[in-house]
Amino acid sequence: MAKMKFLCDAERCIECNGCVTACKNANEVPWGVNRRRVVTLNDGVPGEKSISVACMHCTDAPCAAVCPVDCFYTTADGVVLHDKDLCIGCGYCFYACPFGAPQYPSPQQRVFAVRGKMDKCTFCAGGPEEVGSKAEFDKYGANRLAEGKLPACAEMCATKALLAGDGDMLADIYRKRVMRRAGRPETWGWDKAYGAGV
Amino acid sequence: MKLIKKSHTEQTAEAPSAGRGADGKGVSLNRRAFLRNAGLTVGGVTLASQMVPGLVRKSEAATTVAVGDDVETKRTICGHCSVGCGIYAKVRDGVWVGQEPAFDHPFNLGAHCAKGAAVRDHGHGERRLKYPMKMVDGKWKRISWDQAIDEIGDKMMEIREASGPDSVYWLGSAKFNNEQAYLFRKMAALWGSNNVDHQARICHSTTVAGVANTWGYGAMTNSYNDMLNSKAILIIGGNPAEAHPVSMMFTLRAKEQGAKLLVIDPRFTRTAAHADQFVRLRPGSDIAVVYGMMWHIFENGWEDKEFLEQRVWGMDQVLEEVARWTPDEVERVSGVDRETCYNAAKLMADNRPGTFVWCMGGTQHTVGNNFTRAYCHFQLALGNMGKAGGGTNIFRGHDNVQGATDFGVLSDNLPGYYGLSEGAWRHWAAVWDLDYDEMAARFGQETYEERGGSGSKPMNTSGIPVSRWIDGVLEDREQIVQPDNLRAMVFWGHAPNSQVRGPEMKKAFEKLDLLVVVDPFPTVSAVMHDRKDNTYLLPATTQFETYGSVTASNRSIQWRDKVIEPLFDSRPDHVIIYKFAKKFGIADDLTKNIQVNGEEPLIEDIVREYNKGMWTIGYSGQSPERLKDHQKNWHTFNTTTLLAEGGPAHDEFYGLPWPCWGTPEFKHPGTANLYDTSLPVAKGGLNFRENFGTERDGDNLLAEGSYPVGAEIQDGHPRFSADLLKQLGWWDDLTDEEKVLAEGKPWHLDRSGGIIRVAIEHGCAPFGNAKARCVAWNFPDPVPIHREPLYTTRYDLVEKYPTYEDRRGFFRLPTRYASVQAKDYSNDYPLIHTSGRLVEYEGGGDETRSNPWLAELQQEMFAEIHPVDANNAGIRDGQDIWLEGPEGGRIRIKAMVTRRVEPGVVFTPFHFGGHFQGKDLRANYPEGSDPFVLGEACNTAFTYGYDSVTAMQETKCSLCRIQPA
Amino acid sequence: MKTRFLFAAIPLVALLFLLTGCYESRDVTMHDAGVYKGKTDPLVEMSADPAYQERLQERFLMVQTDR
Ligand code: SF4
Ligand code: SF4
Ligand code: SF4
Repeated sequence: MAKMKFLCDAERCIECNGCVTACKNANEVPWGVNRRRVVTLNDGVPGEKSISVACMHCTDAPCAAVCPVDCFYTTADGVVLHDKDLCIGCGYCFYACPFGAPQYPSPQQRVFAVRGKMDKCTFCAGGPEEVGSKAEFDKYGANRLAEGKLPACAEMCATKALLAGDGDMLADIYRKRVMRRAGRPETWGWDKAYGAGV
Repeated sequence: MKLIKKSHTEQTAEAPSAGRGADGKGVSLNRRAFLRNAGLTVGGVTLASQMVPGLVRKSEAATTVAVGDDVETKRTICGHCSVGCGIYAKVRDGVWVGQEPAFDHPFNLGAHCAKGAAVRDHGHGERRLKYPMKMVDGKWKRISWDQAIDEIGDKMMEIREASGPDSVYWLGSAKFNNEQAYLFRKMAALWGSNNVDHQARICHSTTVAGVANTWGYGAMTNSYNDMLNSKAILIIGGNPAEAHPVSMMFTLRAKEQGAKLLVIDPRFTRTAAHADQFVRLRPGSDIAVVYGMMWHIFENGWEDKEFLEQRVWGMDQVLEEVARWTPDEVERVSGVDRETCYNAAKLMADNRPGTFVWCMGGTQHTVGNNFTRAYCHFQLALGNMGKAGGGTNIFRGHDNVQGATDFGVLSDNLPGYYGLSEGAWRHWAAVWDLDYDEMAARFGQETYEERGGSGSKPMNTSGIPVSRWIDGVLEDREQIVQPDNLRAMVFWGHAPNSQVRGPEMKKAFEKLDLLVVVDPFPTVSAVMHDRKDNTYLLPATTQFETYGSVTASNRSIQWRDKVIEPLFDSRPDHVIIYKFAKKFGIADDLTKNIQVNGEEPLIEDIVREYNKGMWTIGYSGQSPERLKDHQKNWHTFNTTTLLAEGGPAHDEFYGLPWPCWGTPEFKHPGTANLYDTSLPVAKGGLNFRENFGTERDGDNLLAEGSYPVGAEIQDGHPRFSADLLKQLGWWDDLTDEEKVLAEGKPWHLDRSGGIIRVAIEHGCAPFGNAKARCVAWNFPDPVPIHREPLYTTRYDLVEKYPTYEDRRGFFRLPTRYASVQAKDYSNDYPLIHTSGRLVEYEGGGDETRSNPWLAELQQEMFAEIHPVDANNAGIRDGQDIWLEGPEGGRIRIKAMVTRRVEPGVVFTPFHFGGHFQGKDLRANYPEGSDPFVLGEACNTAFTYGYDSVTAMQETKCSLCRIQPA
Repeated sequence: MKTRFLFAAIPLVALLFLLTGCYESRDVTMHDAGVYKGKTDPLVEMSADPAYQERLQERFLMVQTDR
């Protein structure tokens, strides 16, 4: 059984936000809600690096642990999802999540059908509604996994920095890249800032 | 929730101190974090207007899962940059319900940047201009298409009557597809004026002129994909991580395979962040740095001597200039020290083949044509030309700016770079099947030598370029080389905020007798002035609502499907062109060989027509059928070589990159890498073009001992013509029909394509085989030299490196150089002002700022300022500031304090518009058509200054001062 | 002498007091999630099908490898 994971190759990420708008596009995520963000360290100075972050679909998900109404579940693929009908929008999972993934649309935004409830990256796997139904799309966005596709963000990444899929396969690709790079720093100033070989 | 304590784990490692460098770099600010906060209020306002109820309704319309039997898949191409990424659009019942990555597309392999991943929003078009509009007493009023065309047409005819055809300006667009671009140029020709131009003027015109005058063609020589073959990649004045993001896929992959990346830029860009070596130079000092590197190359004997001997002329004269650029002088002028410059030169010399990439940082200067030629000379010195992995990879901007340039939406050219000579006009008149004399009679006939005219007729003189339209309107009539000022402007897919001198532009807008905007969006042209009437907005469609071909930066021509029917009351550009033609009574001439359905000229017929005329650059072999075959077989093309491996396009290069010689029946595969002698011409090989004669000052300009594989003439030779064929004894290889058309003609005017066919069948390039020319004797500076910008912080250098003398009759206008530079502004305006791109937006930004998925990510116009300059001016991060240029244009924007720029340099992005000198113009937009995000246009504060060959505007080094608002 | 010691001790005690709570526990406390109470997601069942898994794997190789 696959274990779905994201991996963002910081040597390749160019902070182009392709993944962010791909997500908006695929899931019709409204203004103000960002299931995915690109974070940049050392912006504008040597050693600048970016990675793209969303829900990490933790194996032992802290959000699920703290949810007072127990609305989280994990699919066999390891995708962490939740039921918006049950969610009360309390924001406790936001406390718990180490990545700030949960989002809370403002009450005027009725696009996701249920006011103020938590929204987060679904690994493009929809939610607990009939697969491919309008109800599912309205509440959770696309269910690409059910269609045999992978997350839109990773599929559209400009440089194939962002990978999504079975953890082992990701590791395989990533290891090959690291080998090809042969330990050479890919980021300008990295060796100067942190010493060669870091 | 059950809070059961489950386990204690011993944390072994120290908490990672992510990103906190030894020198405290970790505290540096993030552009986006800063902006998101700064933009909250703006976002809020926007949000409210967006949410109720537009988005809800929209999402209901489209909230259907994009799978199922009733979903159609269309193949189209992203409309936001010249990379040309493929897209699968999913359509159900005419609604664009989904967008899928095109993994099998040879350019992008499914990848997209923010813009490409958001193109489906074009299917919503929420903030589009929806109906034809007319301004009545300062208010927008909806009118019908018929009324609009009638009123505009009458007014234009009236102006034509009173002031001649040159008083109407046809400002076209890189947003046209090829067929529309061609038809637009043809319409302007039939109207009788060369006052037609488009954004290429202010984008890569200096490249096209500089590069073409060096070795023949003015385009990117290789391709994005070919960078996988490079061992070194030099990027100067370009930031592909933001401007051409998917190209970075190839750059970074090449790097993983061992290639070295060298970035030369005034800013530490996102691209520079990935470089092996980053060189920071003073804006506008490219000659110093490039010659500085060449100084080391020749000093150390790293040049490719055989290549220089066989294929290059005039390098000795360049070297005389290079000799002056000693390491000390380079450092004095550019700030780049000896060691850095040496290392950069060595990196390029050690790693061959290397490719040389440049963008707007190299072109938008008063000496832009010098820069582009110096870049070419650098590549010639290293022998990097005509090789896979080498070349000058000039990344074009808009999705079809290459095509629109090729099709001559230019004031100084006809389609195919034929120029404006009588021979050129006769060629096209013959292709169009029109009478030359009748056509010539539609132009003005006076020459105005007393105003600086050259003495040739308006039909044969370059029109006013788009960069100077303001002066065409405002300049004293007695100083313009045409009967009258510009009185009517048609902005057909153009953002005026992409042009400098805001305050004067506003005046020009207000002085016009007629202003027409044809665009999917109202654009800044609709709002930045205080006009009360005679102003029209006509809604055009985007390229997703029509179909046709588009030329990517690498010269590949890609076919786009129509994704959806035109939204609202909009019309495709070629339909609008036809409507105007009909009104002027030139529709029958315009479409003599083109089928018209209703009011829509048939796109395929337009292709067939230009196939019959575009011999010079080989747009002749790409029939609609061949292009569609390529479109259907994306998956068969190799992603490095672009060559199809099997399938219907077997052994052809993707998109038949021009030159695709001869007729479609000749089946030329296109030319992936220009001037590559390792392939036969019939398979995409080539050599440098003979375009400047065979001899100069007693020197032989033809190639010596270098020729494409399989050539029967194993040496340099002049361009082919009927005479040359006869001399060679190849005349009888022509068929009898070909002989009729070919008789007495040079290769590019032979409308049978026979001369080209015969030349290639003998293995020779039809345009001859010559050396590249390092001395462009027809240019103001035959050998490229450094000249200080008109507005410079280094006034001490002006004496040694002065600009040009003022000129008259340059593109019909007086043009100032020395008289501007005469005054030293650097005391009052101590900072260099430069501009560039953001990844989320494109061009003037009207389209992308109207896309909520993009607009949300970049909500505020800002300026990057170094902490030193900020502290000196008393400015803190995130604060509102005034930035003022030396001509008085001022903009109110946010300060972004960052070390991305060096002290003394201020950077602004150029995509914003809709604020003017502190005033928010949102209320001036037609209701519901205002972009989500507005902001000051940086160009409001930019200043005078035009390239000495192409009239490119100077936007990469001006001056400014900043103060808290 | 005594007073001097006192003067030194007071800030020390105060400092100790002030620092109370200013340390980070190296022990991470985790909690078990409760039992999911929402609707069933048909995808959960679907994803058990090996054919489904294979399809995703094929897709992965097509999508995320450099070609
Ligand atoms: S996996 Fe899907 S929902 Fe999650 S960030 Fe990517 S596109 Fe958005
Ligand atoms: S699309 Fe890829 S390269 Fe661009 S920001 Fe996202 S992860 Fe980075
Ligand atoms: S803007 Fe350019 S790089 Fe981005 S998706 Fe479109 S074509 Fe590709």
